[in-house]
Amino acid sequence: MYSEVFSVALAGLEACIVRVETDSGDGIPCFEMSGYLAAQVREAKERVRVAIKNSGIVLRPQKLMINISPADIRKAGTGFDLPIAAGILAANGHIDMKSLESTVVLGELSLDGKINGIHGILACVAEARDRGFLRCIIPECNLNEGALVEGIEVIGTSNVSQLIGFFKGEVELKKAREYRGAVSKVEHGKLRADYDFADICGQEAAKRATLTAVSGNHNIMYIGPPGGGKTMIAKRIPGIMPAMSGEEQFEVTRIYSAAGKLKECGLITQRPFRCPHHSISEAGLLGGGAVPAPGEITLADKGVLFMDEFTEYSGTLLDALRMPLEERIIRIVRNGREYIYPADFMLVAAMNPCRCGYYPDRDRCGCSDAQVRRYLGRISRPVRDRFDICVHVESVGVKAVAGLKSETEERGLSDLKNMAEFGKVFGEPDNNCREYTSENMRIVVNRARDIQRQRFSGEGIEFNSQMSPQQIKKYCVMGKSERRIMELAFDKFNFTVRGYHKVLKTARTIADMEESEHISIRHLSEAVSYRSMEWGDYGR
Amino acid sequence: MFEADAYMLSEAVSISRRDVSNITAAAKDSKIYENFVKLKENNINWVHMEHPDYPQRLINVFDAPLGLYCIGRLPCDERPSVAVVGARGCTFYGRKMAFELARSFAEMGIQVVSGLASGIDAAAHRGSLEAKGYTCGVLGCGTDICYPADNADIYNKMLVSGGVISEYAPGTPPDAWRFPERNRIISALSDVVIVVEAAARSGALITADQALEQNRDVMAVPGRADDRMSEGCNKLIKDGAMIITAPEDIMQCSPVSRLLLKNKEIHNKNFFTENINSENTASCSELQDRNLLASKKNMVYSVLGLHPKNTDEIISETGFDISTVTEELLMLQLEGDVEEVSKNCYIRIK
Repeated sequence: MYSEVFSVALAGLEACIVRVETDSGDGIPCFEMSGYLAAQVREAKERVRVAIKNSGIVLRPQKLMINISPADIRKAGTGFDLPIAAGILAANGHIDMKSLESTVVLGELSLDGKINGIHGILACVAEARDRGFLRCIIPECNLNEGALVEGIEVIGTSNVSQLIGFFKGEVELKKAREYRGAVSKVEHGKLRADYDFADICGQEAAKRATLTAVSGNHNIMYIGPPGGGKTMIAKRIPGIMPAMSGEEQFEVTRIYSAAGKLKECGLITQRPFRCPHHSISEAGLLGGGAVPAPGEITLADKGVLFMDEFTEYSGTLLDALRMPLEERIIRIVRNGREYIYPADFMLVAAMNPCRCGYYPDRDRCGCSDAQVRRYLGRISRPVRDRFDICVHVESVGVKAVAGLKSETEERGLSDLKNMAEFGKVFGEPDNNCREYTSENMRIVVNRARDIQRQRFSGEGIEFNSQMSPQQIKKYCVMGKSERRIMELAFDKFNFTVRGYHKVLKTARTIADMEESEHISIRHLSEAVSYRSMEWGDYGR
Repeated sequence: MFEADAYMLSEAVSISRRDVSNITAAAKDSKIYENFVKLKENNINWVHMEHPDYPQRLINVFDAPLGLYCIGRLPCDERPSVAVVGARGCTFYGRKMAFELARSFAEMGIQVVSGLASGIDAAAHRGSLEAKGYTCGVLGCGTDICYPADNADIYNKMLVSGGVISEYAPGTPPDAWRFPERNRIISALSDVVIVVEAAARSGALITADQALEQNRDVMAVPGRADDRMSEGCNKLIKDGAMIITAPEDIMQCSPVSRLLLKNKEIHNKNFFTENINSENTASCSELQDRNLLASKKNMVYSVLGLHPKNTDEIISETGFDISTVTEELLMLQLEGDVEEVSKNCYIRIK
């Protein structure tokens, strides 16, 4: 007898519907499989046979031939166990062939007949729905993930005999609908509560720069001595980014699902924050493997990629980042096939100004000027050019930390000076958000991003940082005195045209943060102070 | 020695057989001629002790080098000469002081001697070159080698308008042990040694020691008491070195002032008072300018010094918000009063 079961093959992030064709015939008993199968799929043969046996079903000796079509797409992963088993059972009359129509089956088998979870369920179920299938049978432990896809009936099963019972109409299986309510509530706002900008003492300039960077989605680089709080600041960046839209959440979850990194949480609602160690390989960062696994840049999609100790990464690795940073996707070609993964992230880098980390404080830094330049020279100019904002983070002295604490503790009526300061902070028409808490900062970011969204509607971009030279000309209009200042600055600081544009983009964001339509000198001067310096200028 | 034959040499005590063959090889006319041509090709002069160009200042020193290789000119005996030495890994304060002192010295007609190392030495040479004065560098390697390579720009300028001096033959590599040795030439070539910035154990202090042995004056630029990079200078002052905080302090050093006055008579030109006057008037008018500056800019300017300060420090010291501070900093930078020496760290330069 012949049977057909539908399943999904996952290649990278992309899913493709496949047909598992089973033929059971007379002849010398054997089990053959074809269809460009990876080793995991070939091994399915043994698992399926034993699992069926241990589920209490006795198959007569027969010649089994399985083909997974289309045969030119490579099939990998363990999700084909269950469709193969279902095909064999259908070919032997244990399952009604009609009930398998417009149904997609996915799952890995244990030898005892139990069904285990697999990776990439989200992408598979979504593909099944898009292709017009009505029903999707998946492992029960993947149900919270499968439940995220609406418009298709998603059913969870936990073992083979249960599945047979279900097709016979004897057993009721868990449906995804029951899960849906629970899933969407998971993990909401957890990260934000843990990391707040209010925890960081001092560092006004760095916080302000961070706020600017997030508002316009600019890449940012922190330079400063060790222990200055660069990492602390970076970790708090996802918390001040606007919440992800439903579409974005789905995209991120899909990536994590395919990469097998989705924990119990179901839908991912927090923006990702990835901080790979600097010993990471090119494949690890960009994505790699025979069927490329998503790299860190893809895992950081819609979130933050934080590269601590930026100078310690290998030069080729940093240069490899240049293209994905421009295109916001990464193209990986493997085995004659091109895989396109999203890589729309905000790059945050932190580094020391020299080997010991304390330059220009000569009391602590003994590096020669040439050493300092050589150390900084590890970051090539094109990579440095990708950072619109570059800011110094000095380590805050014990005094400042202690001082801030005592201020909050003793902020009583007796201390008049403190009261005056308190009034200054909160009494001001609050445009600049003097008190840097994550909540305040998020308000500014949202406001600035709203303005940008309105401005760029129909332009095909979203943020100031993505403006092309023509768009800069159109949207960064300056008055006469502003232009004069920029001309002077251009000569004084030896700007390149790219550097000049970067300053304008940043100034545009700063103006947006203050809801100012025009870019004024104060915006420009702040943007100039964020420019990345020529390494060669250090110590001259 | 070249006239002695191999037999005589081998009889002499402490000359090995290899030495003998080296000496005889070197004594060959062709070899001498070859070396001579090489020197001429590279524009390198060689003066021995009896040569009329050999600096008089060196003759009185007991361990004076037998000869000097030189590209460019040797320092003039008639004009005062000052050594400006200090740490390689210096602060902006030190660099600035060395530059300004050397520039003023050049304007006064004083020659500046230093060691062409990075840091203070380079700043001193730059200062002198800026004012188109004579400056020479004494190297610890062959004169044809620019070490450190970073100083190529000043090295090249000095080949033309100053002098590059060494007691070592061309091609000698810069080995660490040669540098203390060349320090004695730096101090010997000058009338006074000024130490700008030196840590507790610094090569500049060796120069200062040798200066004292050679009967030269030592002056030191004071630093803050807790500054690691000024520890050596402050110790020199404690031990009795003269303090120099402005270029005109150099007049306290009698050989320099004597030579300056003598030069004044010869050239009938008043280097010194002219310069001091112009310096004074310049600083006066600058001061007035400062007072006329807008008050915010003035405040930002006034919290800055030669020790770099970052934006946060400026904000907390002035009490302005960040955009005001960055705006004033940009203006000050455009006017050339302030410089960003490292990312978001600023010093005043006027």
